[in-house]
Amino acid sequence: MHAVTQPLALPARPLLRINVKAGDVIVRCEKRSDILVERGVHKTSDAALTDQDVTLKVRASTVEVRCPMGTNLNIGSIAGKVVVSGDAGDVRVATASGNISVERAKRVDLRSISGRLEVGGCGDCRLATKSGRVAIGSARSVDVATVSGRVALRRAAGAVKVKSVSGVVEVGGAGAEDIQVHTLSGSVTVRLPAGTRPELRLRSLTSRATNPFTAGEDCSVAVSTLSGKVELVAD
Amino acid sequence: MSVAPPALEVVTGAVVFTDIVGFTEYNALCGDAEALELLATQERIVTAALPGGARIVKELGDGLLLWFPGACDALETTLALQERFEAVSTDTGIPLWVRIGVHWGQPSRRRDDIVGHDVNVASRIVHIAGPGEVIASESLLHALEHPLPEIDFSELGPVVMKGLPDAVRLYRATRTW
Repeated sequence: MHAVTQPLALPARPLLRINVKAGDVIVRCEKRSDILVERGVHKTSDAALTDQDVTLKVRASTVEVRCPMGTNLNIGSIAGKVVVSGDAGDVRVATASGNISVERAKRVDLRSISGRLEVGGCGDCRLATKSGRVAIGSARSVDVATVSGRVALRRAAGAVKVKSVSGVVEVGGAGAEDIQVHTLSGSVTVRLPAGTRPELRLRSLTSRATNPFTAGEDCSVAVSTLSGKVELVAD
Repeated sequence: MSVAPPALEVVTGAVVFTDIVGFTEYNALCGDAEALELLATQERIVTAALPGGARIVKELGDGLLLWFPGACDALETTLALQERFEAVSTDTGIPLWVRIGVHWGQPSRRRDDIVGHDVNVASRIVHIAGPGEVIASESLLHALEHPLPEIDFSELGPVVMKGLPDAVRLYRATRTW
């Protein structure tokens, strides 16, 4: 049986859906005008093209696909890792245990129960994981939820919302938009540019917050935790 | 002599699971009394919000199994619940971080309980949701009795869930305002 490797012509607003039971998904968004399935789709019936989207269904195999920059991706899998490289459009991924990595995207919605979530750079980021770690390089707005997973956000230009039960949270803001971080036991570190004058609402039942900033109205920082430490740091 | 199994009473409607994120940790940190109060708060809010015909089927630890005869009622009520949970969390500081999964199907009644494949699907969907979210299945969207212009549906994609043979298309429901 031969893999489906011939290029698939695209609809005007391409959405690529990839549905994998057990296997890795590797997508490269690059300068091209078609979708090329390099590996993993063995029957033509596993690839469907409609007016709106291209759907690839795979049972147990690694899928490797090349697609145009800006392609919107909807990917579902149980256990395999998902890696999206290059410049993607809207990326939505849900896995049970697989790690998810997106290099750059317009928007992302990544969900995994135990997988690690990594985003290099994106516009609006929504990420949810139970026990996996979350790492975001740069983003416009960020909404993250974890149970025990650690959250590391290097820099967000816009609003940030993080809820974590016990994960340690480190977020970096630009000092112009609101930051909300709520944990039960996870420690929280918020980094802002030196000289920022934030409006602060810091609440920890067990420890005093460390805060080098003078209060003002540049942005709002709301942090609450039951037993974690709270630290604000001037970058 | 064989005994005929009881006839199945199949019902059609929305199956909803709620789950409090971090309940175990909250209980460990704050004690049983605070944890019980959190559960009671959730139940009070849900009971007050349920429209006619809808009901709490049963409690499941820190979660609830709800039943709605109408798809629109199920969506509007669960979104209203999330707004209320968020307001209570903000006002009181207690972490009423609830995730909600909604599915439309035809489970079987077993006395006051409901059982069957569609209940299992709904129980899987709630695990895809984050705190504060309402995640609905495609079948629920197809069952909406009328358009809901004030609700936006963002597709999550073909979600493959453990124990289910086929991927389920899921949507995150949010208010448009």
